[in-house]
Amino acid sequence: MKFVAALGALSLLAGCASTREWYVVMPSQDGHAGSVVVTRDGADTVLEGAYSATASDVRGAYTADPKQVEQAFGAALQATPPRPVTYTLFFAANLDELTAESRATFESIAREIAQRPAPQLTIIGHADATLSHEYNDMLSLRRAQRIRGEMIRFGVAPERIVAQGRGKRELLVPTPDNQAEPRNRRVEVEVR
Amino acid sequence: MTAPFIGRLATGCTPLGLALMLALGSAVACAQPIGLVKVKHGDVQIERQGVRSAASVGTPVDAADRILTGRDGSVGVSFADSSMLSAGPNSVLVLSQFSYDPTTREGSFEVALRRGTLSAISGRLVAQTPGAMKVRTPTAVLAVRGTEFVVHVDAPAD
Repeated sequence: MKFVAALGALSLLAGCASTREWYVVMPSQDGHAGSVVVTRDGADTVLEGAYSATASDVRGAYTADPKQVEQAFGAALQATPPRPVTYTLFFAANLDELTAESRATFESIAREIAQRPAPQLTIIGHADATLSHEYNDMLSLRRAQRIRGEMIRFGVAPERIVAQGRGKRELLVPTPDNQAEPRNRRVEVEVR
Repeated sequence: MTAPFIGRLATGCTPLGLALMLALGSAVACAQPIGLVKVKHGDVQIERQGVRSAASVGTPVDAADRILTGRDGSVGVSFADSSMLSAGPNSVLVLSQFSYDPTTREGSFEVALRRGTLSAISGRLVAQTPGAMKVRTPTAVLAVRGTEFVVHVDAPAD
């Protein structure tokens, strides 16, 4: 105990008394309860759930007042970038041609991009479980590349687009191998 | 050409890069910045290797950069794993370390808030590995399990 007290006195001398810190878990929009582990002087404080908080002069967790949080963090919270949105485009069998409905989704993506500051895209192509890994890796990448090309034509800077193919490795609808499934022939486009 | 790796190929650069990768059957790393400034109000500076320059929307950030906001400043940055950090006025935020494999979603992200206010939304790194994102302050280390939180460091200016 004496040792801890001595450390406390040292930190006062070092000027730490003028440093005050505050940590608050926010309500999350994805519906999961937030959690952060705060480690201070080797001791952990687990913050769990919306407005669970701790601060320099507090041991353990308490529930913060949302109004005070808004007051202290308003500027930082308002500067949060627009949240990422993910779209799924579906393809005709074996081809890199979009289905008719997915043409309409493509229009929504274009509108979303137009509204965003410095938009970036992650485009991940997939295939269904028919034929080999080699074939599907190539096909899924070709689908992703095709959408990438359209996005570049739409005006997105090429260096802000990443395109990947995952073949038949991440099926949306699990099927036995070599089974055709239209919902697995897709490209996921994350706009952020 | 071994099949397990083909699905991991990522192309972010040029059709030539793609052709090259398909020919070599190996991943060619395309230099993507770890993050981009998406929101900027007032005075925001990025310090890289001791040199400060004004940030604007679209400015890339890199590991080891310091982000500094002035009295009227605030900034929002989004990162490659879709995590997002934003800082309010009079803040100093150091991007200590960032690594992210988009295929496995593994890696780590460390930032240090020296002073000011930080709002953070964790991304795929933390979704894959709780604790993969850490925020250091002058007196604490925060291990992030998800998803949204804020940190205030009330410290005197350097």
